[in-house]
Amino acid sequence: PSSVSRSLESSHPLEHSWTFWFDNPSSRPKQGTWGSHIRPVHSFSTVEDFWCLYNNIHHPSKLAVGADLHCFKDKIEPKWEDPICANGGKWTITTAKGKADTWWLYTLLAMIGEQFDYGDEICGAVVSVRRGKQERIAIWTKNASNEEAQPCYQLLKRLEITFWYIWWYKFSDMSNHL
Amino acid sequence: SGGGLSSKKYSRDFLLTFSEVCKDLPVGFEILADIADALLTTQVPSIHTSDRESY
Repeated sequence: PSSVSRSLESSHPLEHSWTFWFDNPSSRPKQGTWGSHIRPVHSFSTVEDFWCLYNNIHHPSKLAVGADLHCFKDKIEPKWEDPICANGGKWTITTAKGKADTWWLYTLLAMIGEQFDYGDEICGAVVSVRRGKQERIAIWTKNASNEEAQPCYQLLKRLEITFWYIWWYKFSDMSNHL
Repeated sequence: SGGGLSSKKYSRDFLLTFSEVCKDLPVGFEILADIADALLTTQVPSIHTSDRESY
């Protein structure tokens, strides 16, 4: 197929391998559990392969309402039951109108480029398209008790956000209710 | 560049310089048919495996 190219010879390796995951609203059963239809799309471990994927994936503004697009470190599933995520939580920002595409890209670049001071604490990020075409971006972290390592303020700085809603959620709170 | 021992850090500006160079899907890219249309901007051969419930 002509759309598939050879890898570039001199590639730039990333610190971690990452995997895109997608939860497609149209293949989710009406009564289905949130996240039960999440699928791995492809993994990448170089700067070049990141762009080869990113450039062929819809930006958040073009995804259907209900869609979740994740980018997580290899071997970590974007489910709060995953043993690595279970003691962590997520920082969620609600994006300003028309800003989701840029903020999502900048979030990805900050993650894969290891721009966070506590990059090891990060599991991955997810962009969620919800009603009214409102998008949310969340960063999942491994250890909810390590307040210093929470990436929210660094993220806001990197995104140059001037107006936002942000909240923090511990996954252990969710498991306590089940 | 690129000879770092530990963390491979790349700035946003540096990463963005690759965005126009790397346009084609990676070698060996495969995708399930039920998400190809919803996720991809390009048409690629997809796998029809609705029974493959592996999770």
